[in-house]
Amino acid sequence: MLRVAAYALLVLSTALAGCQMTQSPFARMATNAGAALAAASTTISYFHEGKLPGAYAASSFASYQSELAGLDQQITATGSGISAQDADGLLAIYRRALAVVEHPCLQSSCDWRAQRALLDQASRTFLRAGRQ
Amino acid sequence: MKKQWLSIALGIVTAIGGFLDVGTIATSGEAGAKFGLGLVWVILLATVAIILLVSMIGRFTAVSKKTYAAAIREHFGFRFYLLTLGSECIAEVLLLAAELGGVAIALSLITGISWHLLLPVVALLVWVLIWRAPFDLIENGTALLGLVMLSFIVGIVVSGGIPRSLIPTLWHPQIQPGDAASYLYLIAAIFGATISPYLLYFYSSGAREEHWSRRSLLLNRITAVVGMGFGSVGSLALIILGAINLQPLHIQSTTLGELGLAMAQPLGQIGALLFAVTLFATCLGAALEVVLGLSYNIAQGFGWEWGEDKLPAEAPRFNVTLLIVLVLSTLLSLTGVDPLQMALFASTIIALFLPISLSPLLIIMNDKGYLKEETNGRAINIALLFVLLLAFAAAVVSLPLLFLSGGG
Repeated sequence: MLRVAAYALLVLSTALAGCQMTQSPFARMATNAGAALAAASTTISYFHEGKLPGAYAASSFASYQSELAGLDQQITATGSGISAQDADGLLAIYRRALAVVEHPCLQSSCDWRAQRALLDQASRTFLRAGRQ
Repeated sequence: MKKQWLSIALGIVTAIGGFLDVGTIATSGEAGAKFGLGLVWVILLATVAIILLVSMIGRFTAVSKKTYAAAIREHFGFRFYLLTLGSECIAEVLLLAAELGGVAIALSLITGISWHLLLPVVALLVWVLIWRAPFDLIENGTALLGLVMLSFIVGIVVSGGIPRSLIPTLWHPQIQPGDAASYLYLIAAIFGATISPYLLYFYSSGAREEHWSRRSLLLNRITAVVGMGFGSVGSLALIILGAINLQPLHIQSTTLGELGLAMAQPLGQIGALLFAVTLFATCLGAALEVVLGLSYNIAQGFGWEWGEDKLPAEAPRFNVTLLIVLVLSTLLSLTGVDPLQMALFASTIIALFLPISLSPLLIIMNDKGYLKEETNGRAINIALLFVLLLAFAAAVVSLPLLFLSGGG
């Protein structure tokens, strides 16, 4: 079974790589991060629009935090295939977005709209990077 | 007669409510959020396959009065039995860890408490239920609660139904450049999640626990066809909700909580809570079934005394096995791996081992020594062969695609 699986891996890799049917690890990371940031933005919006209970939003942000933690190392990894300037840009917006995810505004006293705008911007930036 | 129809109705309701688990929830949600309705066909195909398999297992047990695990040991010998058991142990311990994580995430979404802290509580709850609760309560209680998943249909209706623009994705999936491996991977994972062999061992053992006989064949057929058929509504509804409410927002449903956003969009806080309750009920029900299914398998294969309705002192080795399986999975889930990722990995491993679990059916379902005149007909055998071919295909590609796609 293992031999067949290894053969399948070889055949699939050749076929899929030849047709550009798989994403590079960097593109996959960027797409996943963009999607997680989009989910975080939607979560904060729904909470303040009264569509989501506070406990649900808090628990969701804990999951986003785990999902997004440690991406800075992947962004700066040598094999990422992006320029140093692009990597710096991504890193900067990633750090600002991660700070929001770590301390989301789940009260009425803070500026949640600014946080949502930042998360949206970060999401778009990562999704764009994933497509390049 | 009235009693028989009551048990048929209960069987159907149980099958509907018990269809979903963390694997089907994870794969369906991600499928809808990433590929619109482009993977609906896989759910339909897998549902037909599980109807076929469950109805066969029920017929086998009702007529032969033997469970699937006991028949494998008896017919193929101890070595082959150990092969099936080994693959089941790996796959189901992983799946149980994911189910426990799913229950903990559901409780976390309701209470706001970290799911890592809730995991030991969940493990304790599962242990108390398997230790003290009778089989009927385990089988029917959580499945009835799982009917909350029908609220997903309300979510679709309130969202305005399926937009016309999505309909063509049924036969022409939207696969972005670089996403083909992910699409193929989800096909194998959905197959593994829907056709989990624990269901076969659990169903077979349940039939013995409830003393099925030839008179139960109608109950078996209706439960399998109607119950499992309607049960897939939950998976289909999740795909649709993901496609309607998550895909336009670029959300890929990579954590379980994200799926609830698809219910919060049309139904607000109630929608989010209904999703969390559904997640809780379906994962708890599946966790109980997985731990029982694997323990039944081990006890029956080794010829030990077994039975959920027996006192622990009457079946001590069976009860110790339940505890060991639960402890192993709890330790695995305590490593902190996200339950959705764990569920996807478990579905992949299940797909990898599917041929080992399902192949014996082809032989024993044609053995007149067990089934007399109730052996498979030609059409059923052809259908079973087709399912086995699909299982082999899923097994060969599942692991390579997991690495190539990065897990969906």
